[in-house]
Amino acid sequence: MSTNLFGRIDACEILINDSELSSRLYRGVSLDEPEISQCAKKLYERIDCRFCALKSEVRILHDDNIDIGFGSINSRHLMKNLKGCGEAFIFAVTLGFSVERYLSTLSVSSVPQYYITDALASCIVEAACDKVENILAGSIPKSNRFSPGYGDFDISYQLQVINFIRADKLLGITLTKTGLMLPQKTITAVVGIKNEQIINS
Amino acid sequence: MNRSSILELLKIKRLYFDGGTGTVLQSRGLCGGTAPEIWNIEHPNEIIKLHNEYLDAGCDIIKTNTFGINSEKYDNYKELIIAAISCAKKAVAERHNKFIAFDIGPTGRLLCPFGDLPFETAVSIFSDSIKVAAECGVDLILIETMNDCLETKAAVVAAKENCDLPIFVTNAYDESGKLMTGADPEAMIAMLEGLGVSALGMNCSFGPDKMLDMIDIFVKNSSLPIIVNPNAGLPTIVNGKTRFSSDADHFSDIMIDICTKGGTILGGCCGTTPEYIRKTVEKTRKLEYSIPTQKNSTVISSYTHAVKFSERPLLIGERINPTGKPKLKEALKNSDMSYIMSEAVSQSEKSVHILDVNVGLPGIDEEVMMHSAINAIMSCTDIPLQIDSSSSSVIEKAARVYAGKPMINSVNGKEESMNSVFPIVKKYGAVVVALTMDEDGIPDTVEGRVSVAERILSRAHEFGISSDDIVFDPLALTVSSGDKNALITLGAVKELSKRGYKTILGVSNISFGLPAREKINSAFLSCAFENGLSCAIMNPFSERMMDAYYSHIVLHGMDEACDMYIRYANECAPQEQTVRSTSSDEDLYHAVLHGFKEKSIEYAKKLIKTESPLDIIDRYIIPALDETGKNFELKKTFLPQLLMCADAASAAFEIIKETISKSEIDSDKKVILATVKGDIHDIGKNIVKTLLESYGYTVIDLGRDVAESDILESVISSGCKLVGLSALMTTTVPSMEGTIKLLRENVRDIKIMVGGAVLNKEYADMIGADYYGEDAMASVRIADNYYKSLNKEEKQ
Repeated sequence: MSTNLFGRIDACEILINDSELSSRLYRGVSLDEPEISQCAKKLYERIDCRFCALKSEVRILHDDNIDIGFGSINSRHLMKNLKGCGEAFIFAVTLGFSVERYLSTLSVSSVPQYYITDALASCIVEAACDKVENILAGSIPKSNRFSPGYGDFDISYQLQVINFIRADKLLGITLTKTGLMLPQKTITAVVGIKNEQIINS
Repeated sequence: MNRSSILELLKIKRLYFDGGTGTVLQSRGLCGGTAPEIWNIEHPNEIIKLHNEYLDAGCDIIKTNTFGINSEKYDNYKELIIAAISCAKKAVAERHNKFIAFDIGPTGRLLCPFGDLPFETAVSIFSDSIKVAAECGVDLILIETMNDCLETKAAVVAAKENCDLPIFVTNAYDESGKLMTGADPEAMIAMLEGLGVSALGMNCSFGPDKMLDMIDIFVKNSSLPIIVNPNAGLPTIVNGKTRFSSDADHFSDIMIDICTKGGTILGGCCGTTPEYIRKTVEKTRKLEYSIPTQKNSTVISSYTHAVKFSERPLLIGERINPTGKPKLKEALKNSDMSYIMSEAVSQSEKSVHILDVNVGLPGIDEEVMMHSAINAIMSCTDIPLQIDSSSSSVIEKAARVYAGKPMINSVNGKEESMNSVFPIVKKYGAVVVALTMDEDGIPDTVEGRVSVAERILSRAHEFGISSDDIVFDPLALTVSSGDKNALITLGAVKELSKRGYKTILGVSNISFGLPAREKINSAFLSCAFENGLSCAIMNPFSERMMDAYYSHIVLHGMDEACDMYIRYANECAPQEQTVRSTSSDEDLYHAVLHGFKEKSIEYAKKLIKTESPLDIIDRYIIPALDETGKNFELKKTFLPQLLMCADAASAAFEIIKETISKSEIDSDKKVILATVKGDIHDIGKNIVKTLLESYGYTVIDLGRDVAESDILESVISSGCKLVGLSALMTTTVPSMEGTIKLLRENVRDIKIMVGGAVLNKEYADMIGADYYGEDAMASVRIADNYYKSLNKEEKQ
């Protein structure tokens, strides 16, 4: 069985809904509102959504340590999330650098648009993650996606995740010294594949 | 054994790089997750064996196994580099005309202004490696797989400063044909040729098919040999093993086409093996060879794209220049980069091609300011910049960190000027504006100015600077001090253009001292274009000037289907404000309340004719802000509406400020804002800034990722003792704590408010903050209360 390691998603295929945006803007909004739809239109023009992924074996080690392909990770929460999973997809998805640059420009030209566009971009990258999960795993039973920085899955593992799936080379993802990924609208995640599915496949 | 230099060989024959290293070593036992460079020490024989296999396959240049090595990643980087070069030397020993390229890959971090790696730190990291390599003895430096323009430049600068070896550069373009941070091949070619590299091209990312699509751009724009080192296609996992989509036959067949189209140095990258190289050499060795022709074009570039001088004149926005601009002067004194950035963005929206950046002001450190301004502007617009200063040290500092090939303004015919500026132009690669004046002053004839121009050109050639990189400014002197001045300038433009040189003018100088200056400026601009002017430094907000420009290009057949003119004319048509509310109350209060920025400006302009400024602020602007702020706190209004209201209020405020004396506004109400070191989020800070400014506060915005010492320095220099700190990441809150500690130790009566998604009141108290801002409006309340209590103390 082969697994795509790299792919691109057309921006127009990444859809978000009113409730996702509302929760980020802390108010009820509709994507049809003029200010929101104008911001969305300009943002979508700049999205270059790409992902890379790897399927890896999950091994439970000792004492809350788990190995998902690049050595021991000390994280009880990650272990709990991957309970019952013999394999996992590890992936990264990014909206690209044009979005980064656009947000930087908006931060000086219009703070209201900056605020709305930033919220939109955050929703869109999460929606892109949903799409990537679908591409990789389809409808097979899987765990919730879990990222470095969640629970006790320390953000310091981010570099190893990026190197392991070659997100630096394939997507151009870099890390600041404090562990922030650039471009900022980037997510890395681990999604476990439930064991019974592996036996059946 | 006698060896030809690699550059001599390139003039007469095609050369070949080797192929992939990491992917081959992985097939030979290198574990996933282990860096290939470790094998230089643990399995040197495997490295030597691989080098020999590539050399036996016919390659001419082997890359040292040092791609991932740098002083930041490895404490023992010297040992690893020495071992890698030793392996390479053993392989090429006794072979004729085989070369060793010292391989440098990316640091893995993004440079400022978008990332957190300072340019000089990057140069230092690369320099550490190159010094070792140069000492060991290699034949060239190969900088490869860089996906950022500025990191590429840092590596090239490090190479130039630490050795005399030829520098080859290949970048990793993605499927859209650009680098990750946006540079297209034209931009990279402009910058790299300016920096004086010996060959350039592309590597990694994808297979030869995509590179075949891109080779035409390189052939069309590059005057240097073109390197093509593709992957063996895109990687996939098949039954647990990595496979690449292009086999050796397919790969080498496409390389024939790449060769035919103009690829001069061929090789491979990830997934390729000695077999790929052998077949490529076999199939292309005997094909006709030629190196790219000299392109002779005047071109500058930014982070993302190049701007070529052509028949159609270019516009250079002049507004980032403190002369005659009190607000910009104030911003420079306060190191307010956001004001400079907003000037840059607003000019770019007027479709200028280049932005002039001049921050010379008595009493400020111009070097530091120019460095900050260049970085700030690069972060918000990708228009190429003209570095404008009378100080060569300022020019050098800016040219060094500029992402691209800049324009430098200026040099003149004085020996001192040419001796100080030309070396900078040569080292960093720039187009330089040359003023036609010398030790004898400004000639008062056309012939005199042209003669100075020719002398400057001759001296430029002595420095190795091409005529293509000089743009002459025959100087527009005001007609109010000499009625022939315009004629002399126009005559000089005409003659210089006739001789094939590029020209530039600071157009508005022609009318200095006269009333209704725009009338003369726009007419002079048209005259100058008629005489062949290549580019004009002008105010893009002047409708008359822009009318003159767009009319000229459409009338002279430089605007296909009149497209640009039509777009410009449509933009000039009055715009309808989007009305969200059906309110029939049309006044400034309601305009601000509903966030109608344009309406707010309109009503403010009307009201200022009949009411006093302070009355307008107290009766319309502040009540609207207070109403929205109150509703925000009651959760009846939400942040976007609050921000739009603040935006509209600030716009109205700006109109009022133009008519009010400084003493009438309480200009002492200042707040310093910064996102702390290590954090590059600024959305919260920017929201707070917008709100504070709408309430009349002067905000000293230090930006993001700000060092503790810089915040302290700003407090001391400004005298402002209210500081707002923002952090959005848990990893950067310790930096906030450190900043608070430093401020308390050094400044009496300092008051610090903090905010950000990761904070709460408890944590704010724990790290020693005086106030915690739980939402955007809180900052305004905190600042109001602070200044009220300060006033009360002063009265007592």
